[in-house]
Amino acid sequence: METTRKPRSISLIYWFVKVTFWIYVTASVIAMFLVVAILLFGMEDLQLHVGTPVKINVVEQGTLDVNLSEKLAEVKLVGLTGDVHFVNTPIEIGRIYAVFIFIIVLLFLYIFIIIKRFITNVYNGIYFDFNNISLLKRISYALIIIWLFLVFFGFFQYYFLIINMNFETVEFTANVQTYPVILLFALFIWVLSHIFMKGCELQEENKLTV
Amino acid sequence: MAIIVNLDVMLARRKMSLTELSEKVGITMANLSILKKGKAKAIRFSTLDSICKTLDCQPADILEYKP
Repeated sequence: METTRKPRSISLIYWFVKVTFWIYVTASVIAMFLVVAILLFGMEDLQLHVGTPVKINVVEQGTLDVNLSEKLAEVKLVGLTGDVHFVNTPIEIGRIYAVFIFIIVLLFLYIFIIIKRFITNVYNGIYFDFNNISLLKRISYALIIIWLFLVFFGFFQYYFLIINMNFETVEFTANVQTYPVILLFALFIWVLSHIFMKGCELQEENKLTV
Repeated sequence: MAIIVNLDVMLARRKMSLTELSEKVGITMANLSILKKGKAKAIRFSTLDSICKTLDCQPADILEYKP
């Protein structure tokens, strides 16, 4: 019987996904325990550390110390991405972020499960299969849901928290991040699923050609 | 599909079994079975040539169009 050797890259990706999946599952379980603790018990001394969905406006003047020419280059620092650290997190804010983490962790877990199944199929030599198309489409839809959720939560964070924060020397911009890369990636996978569909049809036709 | 495969009729006329045809033509039984049952989506000219040569017939004796 003819045996086909698996490409080494596929084997490497398969094992990488498998190991990453179990690391993610472990991290998810820990995150879920924290989320449940925040939702049920509140955790009074909670110190949240979250990324801002908008850039921070600063005007800091400096110099570029590279000997490209004799003239010293002057530079300005005008926009920063940053994190907000809540010294005393109000319980309501803690719960909002707990719900956000809960949904995001579950969505990514779902995507991870599908990716693992897809890679396992490829590892086992099942390439152009209708099940694989369904898996790719599900990854794409899940990514679109994640993108919508992140954009929605970004705007929610901005209007609920960021515009109500006051600092002496810095101010936030109004450009909320929209994560276009996630959307593009989702659309790319959706297109890929259609290419796989065509591959399946060709394979089926080839099988039924005598 | 409107194309009817009359392979079984030709086999009966030539008093030949599917296994015998398979051996003479060099096509697997599985593929011949697909052709006989009318499940095939396409047929190669080389296959048609071999079948016609073995059964001593014309392509029209095997394939028929019924609108």
